[in-house]
Amino acid sequence: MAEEPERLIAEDGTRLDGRKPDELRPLRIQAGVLKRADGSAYLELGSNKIIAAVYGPRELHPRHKQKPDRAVIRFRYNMAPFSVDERKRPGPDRRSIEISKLSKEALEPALFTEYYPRTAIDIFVEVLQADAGTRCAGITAASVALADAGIEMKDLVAAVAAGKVDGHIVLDPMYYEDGYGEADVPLAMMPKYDAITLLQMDGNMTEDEFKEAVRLAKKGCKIIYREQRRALKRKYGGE
Amino acid sequence: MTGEGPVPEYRIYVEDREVVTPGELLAEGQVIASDGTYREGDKVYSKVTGLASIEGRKVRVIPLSGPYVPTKGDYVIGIVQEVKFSSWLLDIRAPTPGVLHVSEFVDEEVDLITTDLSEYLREGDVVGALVQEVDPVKRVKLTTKGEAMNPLGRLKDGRIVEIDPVKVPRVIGRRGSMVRMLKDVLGCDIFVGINGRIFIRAREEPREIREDLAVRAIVEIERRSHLSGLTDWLESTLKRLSRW
Repeated sequence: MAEEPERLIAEDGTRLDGRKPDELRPLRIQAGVLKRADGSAYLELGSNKIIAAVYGPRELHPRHKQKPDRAVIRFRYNMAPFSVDERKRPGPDRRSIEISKLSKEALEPALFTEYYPRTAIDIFVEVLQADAGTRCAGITAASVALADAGIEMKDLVAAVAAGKVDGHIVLDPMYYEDGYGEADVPLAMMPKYDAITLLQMDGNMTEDEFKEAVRLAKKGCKIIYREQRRALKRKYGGE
Repeated sequence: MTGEGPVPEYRIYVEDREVVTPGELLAEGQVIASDGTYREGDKVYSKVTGLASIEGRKVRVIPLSGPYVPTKGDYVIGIVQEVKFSSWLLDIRAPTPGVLHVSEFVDEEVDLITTDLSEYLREGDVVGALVQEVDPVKRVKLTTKGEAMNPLGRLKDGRIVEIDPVKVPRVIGRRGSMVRMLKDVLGCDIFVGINGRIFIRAREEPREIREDLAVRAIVEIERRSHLSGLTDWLESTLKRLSRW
């Protein structure tokens, strides 16, 4: 990581990349980018570049892992070796195993898994370029890929982080803000139900700051949600 | 509507043929929530990405992608995946394979102890079948006995094309107009499985060219499925190409 900037937020609240505290980075989502997968999506959030692919529902082997009353969701979050400054050693590590688990749990409530008993739904998220907030961006992309695969869902899941940087609560921290900031709060939700499906915190915040971070992240999710729906409609000529 | 009582209250929030996404509010009140939708209290939402279809008070969503979900009575084309002791497992492109029991395929009595079922059907064989039953855990039972639009039993000496199951209605066309046109113009037998598998067999020479054209026509229908006037366009194109 490059040297720490002297300050991350200017007196008037402007951030290093010119954003206001409650502003997302530029977001672009495209549904259906892979031919071989049953559903897929490509997402850019600032400098984050993420591809998500969904396979299934399909037969699950080995059979003892099947659930007789619902589908099993399998989620694999992976960072490309070239996604960060220093080469990332390929393969699963502690961090990516954790992210895979919680991403799966963030998406599961949105799916009608009981419609596909004894099957597996496989979700793959590949981070091509990372610039903080990839777990949330991965969930956002995976949710679009699931809808693109035609899997029956109650709602889409949108996700974004909020953070504490130089004492300010900001939405969607980027690389420097995440690295040198005081705290980071990733959040995923089903906007239709106003239901949070993922909430973590790394760092220290007061209760009020935490509440403000959650408020900001929820607001960000609603903007992301609109873009997710727009991406799906665009694929089928709806917009 | 006639009668004394007040007209039932309902509101529909989307247009007919509008593209909707999972979780989108479609309607409220006394509407009939059909396929592709779910109800929560008074409200009806979409559960897939698809085209909203509004017919009076009936609201449904026609999916634009997604797996083949077997329903009782479907004509499907399966490929034998595994030969078991008293049945075959057929890949029908559904999330789980379909089970075809011997008694649903063979008319005579079979002594299972002395007979290997691969004498009747082997791995890789193609079978036209009906979905006889889907149980609550989505196990699919198949049969080759009964009445169907297309032939039941083993299909041979032809070709198989696979398309997206959601695009099958387009290949069939309005009241079967598309397949009928293809059959007539190309002189082929064409059996469309609801599971997105299509069997093609030319009735006369030059067989290879006829079948090639049929395959290409179906691929083209899948690719252009969103366009209107497809049947007429394809008919004139095929007539031009089919001067044997």
